Amino acid sequence: MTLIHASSLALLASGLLVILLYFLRPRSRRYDVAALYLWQAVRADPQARAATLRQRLGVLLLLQLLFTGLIVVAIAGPAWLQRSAQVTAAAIVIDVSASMRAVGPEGRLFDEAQREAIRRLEELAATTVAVVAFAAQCEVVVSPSSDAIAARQAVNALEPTWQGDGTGEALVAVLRGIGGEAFDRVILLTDRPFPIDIPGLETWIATDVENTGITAFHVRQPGASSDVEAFVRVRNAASAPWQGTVAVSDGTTRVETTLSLPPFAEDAAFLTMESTEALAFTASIAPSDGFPGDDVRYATLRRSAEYVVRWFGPEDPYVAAALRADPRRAVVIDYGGESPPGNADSSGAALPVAPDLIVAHDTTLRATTSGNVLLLHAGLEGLLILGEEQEGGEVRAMVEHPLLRDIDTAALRVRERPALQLGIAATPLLVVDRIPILLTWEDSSRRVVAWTPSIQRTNLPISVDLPLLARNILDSFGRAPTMDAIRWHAVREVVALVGFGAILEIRDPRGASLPGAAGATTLVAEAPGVYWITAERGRYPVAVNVPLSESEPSGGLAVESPLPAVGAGPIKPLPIWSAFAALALLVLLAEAAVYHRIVPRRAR
Amino acid sequence: MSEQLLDPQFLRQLGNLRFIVRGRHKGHLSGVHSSRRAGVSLEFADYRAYAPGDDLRYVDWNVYGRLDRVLVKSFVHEVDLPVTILLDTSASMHLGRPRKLGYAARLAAALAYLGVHGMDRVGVYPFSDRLHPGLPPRHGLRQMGHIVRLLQDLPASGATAIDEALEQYVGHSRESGLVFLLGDMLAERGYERGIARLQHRGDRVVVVQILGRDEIDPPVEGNLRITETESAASLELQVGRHALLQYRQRLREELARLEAFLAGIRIPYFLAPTDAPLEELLHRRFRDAGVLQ
Repeated sequence: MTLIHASSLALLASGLLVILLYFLRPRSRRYDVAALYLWQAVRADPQARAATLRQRLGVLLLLQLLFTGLIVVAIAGPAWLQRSAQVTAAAIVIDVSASMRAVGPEGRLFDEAQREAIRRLEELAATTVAVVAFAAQCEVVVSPSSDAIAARQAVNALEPTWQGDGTGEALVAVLRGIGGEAFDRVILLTDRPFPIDIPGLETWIATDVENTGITAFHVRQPGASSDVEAFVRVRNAASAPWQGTVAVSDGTTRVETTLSLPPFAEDAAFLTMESTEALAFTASIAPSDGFPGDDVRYATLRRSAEYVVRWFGPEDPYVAAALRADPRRAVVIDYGGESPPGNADSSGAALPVAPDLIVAHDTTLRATTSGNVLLLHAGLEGLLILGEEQEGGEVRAMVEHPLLRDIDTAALRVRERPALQLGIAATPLLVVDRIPILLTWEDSSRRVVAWTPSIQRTNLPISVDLPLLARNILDSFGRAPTMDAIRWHAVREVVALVGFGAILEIRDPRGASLPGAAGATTLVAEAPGVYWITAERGRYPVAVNVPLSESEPSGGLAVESPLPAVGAGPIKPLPIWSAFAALALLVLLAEAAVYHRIVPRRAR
Repeated sequence: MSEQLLDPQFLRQLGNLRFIVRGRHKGHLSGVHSSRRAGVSLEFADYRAYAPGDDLRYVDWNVYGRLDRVLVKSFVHEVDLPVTILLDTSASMHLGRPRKLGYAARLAAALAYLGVHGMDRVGVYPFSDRLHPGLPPRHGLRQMGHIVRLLQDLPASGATAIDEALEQYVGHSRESGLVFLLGDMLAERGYERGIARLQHRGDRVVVVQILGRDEIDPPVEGNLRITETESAASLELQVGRHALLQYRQRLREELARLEAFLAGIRIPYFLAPTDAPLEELLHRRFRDAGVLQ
């Protein structure tokens, strides 16, 4: 029996109300008699209180509680799970998540499931059958068809993925998409039970495999040293103790330690790797077990990175100092057009790195200049042309803007400022005699901030407002991405590649270039390992791991569905709420009868 | 209620019953009941010696011819019997399951029918703490109709004062007869004086004590506020098995006191639980006690 609306069982709490009302009844009941003098000689019965309690907890209360319970169960929609004789359509759902790669006594779990699927297909030879590969991404392998041969070939061609488990909602959506409610038998072949509410679902569970795996791996760089600390947590989900080594490698150096774990326990190891410049690391345990997918894990390191400024025009020590003043950034100014220091791949080859900011001072940039641009008494071809110098005056702020945050505009002094010709709609932030001296605009290829007066013709070099302005400009522009946001991803997880600049190439853990990666904005990895992304701004590792859910022990998630008899039909719920309602009515009538029998009318 | 009071099937069963009057009775109209007082009727009673003034029509000439003695035949004097039903309608008669008043009304109707059927004069007087207006004994089916209407509309109210009510009855009715006293007889103020007064006047009294089964064996326990219907006086009592045993003992003593008192003055007494069949009371117990034949 099952309950269609099991959540309605919460109404059973109303039984407490019945009990409460029962005990809230008047303590003494009126009992009318013809002659009080017959009772006056009667002494109070010390056992009467117990009798009262007995009566209160007596049959009436039990009947009322029984009535309440039956009504609540009736509301919850009880139904018998009945197996009908004829199957019209069936779906075979094979778990292709990473845990199905585990190897048990009978061989690989997936192979077990595959054999079972073939056996089921033979049973359902004359039936319309669909085959679904069930993982984080559900895939319809065979649409509903009575072509048993095609279905068998499709099942044989299936291979387990490195994905995590699928969800019941996704499976329901897929089944509805291909068959509506037509599947009266859904056979799920998996290594663990799923709490999925699908009518007619039968779950076949593969042989349990005990597993020990890495459930957490993290690396960090303490302080300014080049050492790397690694944190590795290992869970022994097996019934036997586990003793082995835990190792961390950066590709050239390897450190390891030993770990002993009792059954169903976990522990962590901390390892230090000295003087390494690597960005990607691998943790592993040995000996390996039946499920190697979680015996190796990957992580990338968060390292500090420089903020690259490319300078055009004569140097200005005041502005340079202001740009370097913010301790949150390691600003590197490139005056010569050479490639600044950047990331290097495993081959050690230097990579061209696009600057985070272009600064033009007392010069004019070409119109094709793109990116983040700061113009200091500088022009931009066709868009901003500086004219003759004119006398300065009082500085006024036009709008509240993040670029003016914390700046005391009243303290700014401008002795001269140039006339302007603007070829674009810019936002004036500061003006002198209605002529902008600080303005900004943004178009499809660049963001521009322009300070039109000569630095030396203002009091900015000796003002605290210059580093504040530099800070605001850098904050406004942002910078090229670091590995901060790219630490650990799971297989099939969508990794956003926005902000790297144009993606040039992505190499998978085996070193093969992924086709179609150029210009991609996302990465969806199909296998665990370290993926290397080559973009305009540099080269970045992305660590991809088997989802942690695959390391969970298979037992204890839910009760395994009973295996159906061979050739049996689907399990369908037969509502029996009316029987419970009728039973509740009988109980109510019985309660009324008992009430009228044991409680005198005048004593009610 | 008239169907309940006078069920045709029930009335047919009553058809053969009539009241028995023992002892001397002075009726002033002819009736069907025999009197020890010699009189004129078709039923031979005895012989006695002729005395001057005797009606010569009653001299048995056959005896005179054979025995040479002048004897006069005397015959049973048949008188009508005034039957009065005194019905307790105090508030306590509202209790009981079935209600005591309903049971008493049915019994009164049955007795009235028997009286009317036996050519007796039948009257009914309700009483509580005093005698209420009723129907003086009269003959005939018309009287029966009046009685039924009276019994149908009887309210149960007021306190119980049997002595006072019976005193008023004796003062109101100057004629003795067969008096049925129907009530629960649970009168703390007593009943002895009133009943003795009736008997002293020459009434043949029959007492039927009507009690509900729940009064004899209360089916309650727990913390009760026991309230007397008539006076609204009450007491709080924890009632359990032992308390009920005490109550039953007290009730038995009360019933025994009434029974002993009535036996002492030779008044028939009947305890009638309201769940007991009325037929059984009339056909067996009244006949066994010589009230009906």
